[in-house]
Amino acid sequence: MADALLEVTRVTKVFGGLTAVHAVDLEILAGEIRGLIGPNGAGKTTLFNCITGVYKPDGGEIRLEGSRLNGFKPHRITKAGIARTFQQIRLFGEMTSLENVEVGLDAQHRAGAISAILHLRRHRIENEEASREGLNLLRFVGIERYANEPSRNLSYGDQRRLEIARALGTKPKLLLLDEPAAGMNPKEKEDLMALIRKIRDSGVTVLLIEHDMRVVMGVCERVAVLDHGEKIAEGPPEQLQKDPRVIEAYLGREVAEDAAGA
Amino acid sequence: MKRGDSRNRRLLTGGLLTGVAIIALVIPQLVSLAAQEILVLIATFALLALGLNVVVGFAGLLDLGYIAFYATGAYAWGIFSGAGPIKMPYTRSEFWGDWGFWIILFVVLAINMGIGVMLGSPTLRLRGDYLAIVTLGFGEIVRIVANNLESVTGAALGISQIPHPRIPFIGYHFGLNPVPYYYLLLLLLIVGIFVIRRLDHSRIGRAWIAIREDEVAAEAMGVPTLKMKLLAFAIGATTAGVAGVVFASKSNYVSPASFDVFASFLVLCAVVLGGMGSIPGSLAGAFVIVGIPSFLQLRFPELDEYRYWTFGVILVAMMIFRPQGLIPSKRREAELMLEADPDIPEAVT
Repeated sequence: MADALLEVTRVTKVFGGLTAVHAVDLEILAGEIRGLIGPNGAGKTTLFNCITGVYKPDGGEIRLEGSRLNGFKPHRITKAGIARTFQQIRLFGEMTSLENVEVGLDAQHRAGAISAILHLRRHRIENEEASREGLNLLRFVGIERYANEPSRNLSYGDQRRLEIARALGTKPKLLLLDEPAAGMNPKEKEDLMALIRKIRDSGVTVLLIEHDMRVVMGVCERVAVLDHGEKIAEGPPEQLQKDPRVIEAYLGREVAEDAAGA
Repeated sequence: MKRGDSRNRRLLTGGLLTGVAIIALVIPQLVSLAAQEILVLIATFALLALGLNVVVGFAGLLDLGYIAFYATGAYAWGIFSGAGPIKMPYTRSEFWGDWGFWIILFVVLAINMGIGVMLGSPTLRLRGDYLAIVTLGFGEIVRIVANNLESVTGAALGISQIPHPRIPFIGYHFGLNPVPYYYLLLLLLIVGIFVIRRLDHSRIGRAWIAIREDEVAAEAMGVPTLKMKLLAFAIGATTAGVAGVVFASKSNYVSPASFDVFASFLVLCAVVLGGMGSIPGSLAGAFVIVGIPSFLQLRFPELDEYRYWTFGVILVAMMIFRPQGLIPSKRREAELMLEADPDIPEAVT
């Protein structure tokens, strides 16, 4: 398809004797919010790690806007336009919120050591830009009042938001969110859903791993389901809720048969 | 209120800095020759600590063989000044004239950057403990090579008769007087502090701290981690190299015995006690680690056997009363106040 942003073709990842991801195809269109669900251990995060270069896929191909990303180092993939957040929050704890976002923004910056030592124009412009845009991003996710607070002092929900702001700092085309709603209360989840929509509306495509079905059903236009490393279903969320394979993956065969019979 | 606080704080640090600068400038004129020698020692260690702080404090890379870079700097001047066993046209002092020392001071920047990158490119892919082990090994390898490569380094006897620096044109000879070395080191310290401060406040400094805090996340945020770690390593290596050149020219003698593991640990202690990631901290750390024991020894020579005892007492007292270091970096201060758990002192890593 012409406007496929990310094409994942038959990606496989094997750990020893365990095939964590097996020949998964995934095509994400520019401008959509795509969900990726599946029971624990289904291979969702492994797939994320393959896309972002943390793992090298053992087979298959990953293309962003048509160009191959396989074998790139994570920082190269980030610069190519894929940013992510982590399942376990991984902020730079001692740095302030603003500094955290600035590290993300620095992915766009080019000033080297000499420029920094001599305070050359490029360094000054980029440094100024980093703090200005950093504040904008903090405002975007709604935590600008903690700009100068060390990030480890932030509440759990705010840390999740900061991770998103930091990832957005790298100016991604595609944002991968790994269980962003984990540990959030209902109010925070509502806000998160609004934030995800806002991110999409700003022109960033979103791929979301999430266990909370209300969040998935609430924001995703299409959802892919992984089980035992394979994609077992894909489609709009309402349709998947009735799909016997999906119910079986989550609840077991008997329940699935009951549901089909009923 | 907060704004007033920060302004007062800035005034206070400004005043303190000026005071320290004035004292540092005047003090050699006021003390005995023996104390001047100690001042040179402190300044040398301060330069070493300044460089190691970039590696350990900023980038979080535990380097236990740091003194090797000090050794290569010292031997570089030893060999190229013509004092070593290699006798080539370019290793004779006549070839260099008064410029030799100053040229080597710059050449060592390149040499040590090269060695740092050569050692770093394979090893900086390792993390944590593994890096510590490899650097520990590297430090020992350099010392053992110096101890055995007789045709280049003069083996265990070392290189003696290394020339003192001369200032070109005016022909001033540094000689045995410690004072000019002290001022030279002071100048190098100022340059070092300037460069490292500027880097710290740039995207490079942010990248270093990010790597120290979480390397996986840093990489995922587009930080070229290997390149940034190499840069930190190279800056540490060059700083130590420069200190080594001055050391060799001052003592006019180098031997492998000066570069054992204990010397590496001493510098590391200065960085940790001063406050990791803090530039004024590493300078203060150097003062405490080599200054206080040396002055005590000077004052009470009969207590010489207690030198390591004082050292131990300082270490233990610091861990109990000020685990974040003498002058912690602001970020670190915040972290330790938060994790107020007095039973667990901050680990070296």
